[in-house]
Amino acid sequence: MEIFDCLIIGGGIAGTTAAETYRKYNADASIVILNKEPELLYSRVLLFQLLKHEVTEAQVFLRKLEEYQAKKIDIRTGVTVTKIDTANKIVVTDKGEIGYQKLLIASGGIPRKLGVLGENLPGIFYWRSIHDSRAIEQYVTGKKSAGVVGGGFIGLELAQAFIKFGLETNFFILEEWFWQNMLGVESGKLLDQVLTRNGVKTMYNVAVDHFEGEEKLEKATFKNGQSVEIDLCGIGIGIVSDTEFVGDEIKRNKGKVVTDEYLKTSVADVWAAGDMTEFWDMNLKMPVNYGTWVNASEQGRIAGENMSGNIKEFKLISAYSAPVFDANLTTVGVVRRDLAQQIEVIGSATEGSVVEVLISGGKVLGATLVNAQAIRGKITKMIESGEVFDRAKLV
Amino acid sequence: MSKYTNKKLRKVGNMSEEQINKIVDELPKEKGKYRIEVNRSLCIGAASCVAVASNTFELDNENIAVLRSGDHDSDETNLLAAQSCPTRAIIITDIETGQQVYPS
Repeated sequence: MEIFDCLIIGGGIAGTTAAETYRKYNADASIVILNKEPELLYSRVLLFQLLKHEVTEAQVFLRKLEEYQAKKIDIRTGVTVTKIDTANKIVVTDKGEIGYQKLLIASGGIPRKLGVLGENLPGIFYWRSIHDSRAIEQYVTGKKSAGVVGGGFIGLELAQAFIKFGLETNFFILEEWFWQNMLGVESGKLLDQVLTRNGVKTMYNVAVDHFEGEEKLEKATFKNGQSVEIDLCGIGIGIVSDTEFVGDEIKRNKGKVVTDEYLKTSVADVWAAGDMTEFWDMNLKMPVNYGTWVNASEQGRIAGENMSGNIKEFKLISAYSAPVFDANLTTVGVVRRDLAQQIEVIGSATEGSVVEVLISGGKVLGATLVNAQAIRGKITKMIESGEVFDRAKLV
Repeated sequence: MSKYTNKKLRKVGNMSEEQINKIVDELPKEKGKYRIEVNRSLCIGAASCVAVASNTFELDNENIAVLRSGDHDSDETNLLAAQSCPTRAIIITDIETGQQVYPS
């Protein structure tokens, strides 16, 4: 059996960055990355631009095979891990067993399924991988109308891509307004204005009951009995952690691998990084999970440092930012309304810009910004300093 | 000229080439060996570069990464920052050889 000094499960930005960081301090160590997908590292963030034909497929790939080889990182694609035997330090895969000295779990997530009848019909797409992008692109030719399910960044991007394709686009939103568990009513109103004026038909309080069609998707029917005829439907309702193989020895919470502030798991010589990691945030004194690119990239780097013996605490003010047609939606910090004791709203839908600052114990936890990028820096600094929130500094 | 990245030097009006070269030679040379550029049309403000190299990058009022004034992070850190960018918006060039280092 092969034994590697450093074994990494997952070849996304977290796993790749960890491997590169580990190499920096361990010139002679053997390093292997096991990647489930058949590709080398690519940018999921750019899949949106790819779908809109703003970048080529070649531009989406972030590393070439020669770059792995130059760093003596053994990258193995199309390998699925089925089990971790922490007692014997062995990872079991569909292609055999591999031993490790140090292990990083960076396996990411898979799209959450809607779980309704007919969701496997051709024409229904979950959008996570470059394969999904290619499949949507191929299917869309000659089609007239589309649906989008899910309030979030993925849903917003799907709607924009469908409009760009010239499809009649219907946005099926479960709640009273867009992304209700993250955004307040004013932000929701503003986003509705942006979507509507760009040709998206928004429908609220609609839950898909089932999809119908002979051989392929033709219609979505809601729980209220109403139906909409559509040729295709994109679904973006979040991800679930791809960690079933982790087993019970390594502590998990709702599928997420639990780590301390150094990204170390409950088991010796095993670390975790990326979307499926719930780390202990020293500032907030609570477990936190982020699903952003910058989080995965930074956790990969910090895990690589800690695995090399350079003990570093993971600290990050996570953020994500994306265009919504001619507008922009940005999140900074912890954007969980359930944790906020107070929410300060600055601006309004009428003014064309809405900032919502989530505050707990007088301090800023995070914020959502619709069309207000200019104050992102100020809010980031407020979170960083832990100062008492002062509205006057933002208006 | 390629060794120097201060673009303002290109706008010196009616000075002779000799005078310009003299000024250029007296300028403090760029510490790092890399020239760093941000493609504004690609940058989406994910800010992974700021997380990796906070002395080199910051976000401007349009949410786009820009280079900070003052002392920058090391070449190695700046390269890591470019490699962490999800939109490949940071271009690193070796000033001496003129070769683009990333994206390769």
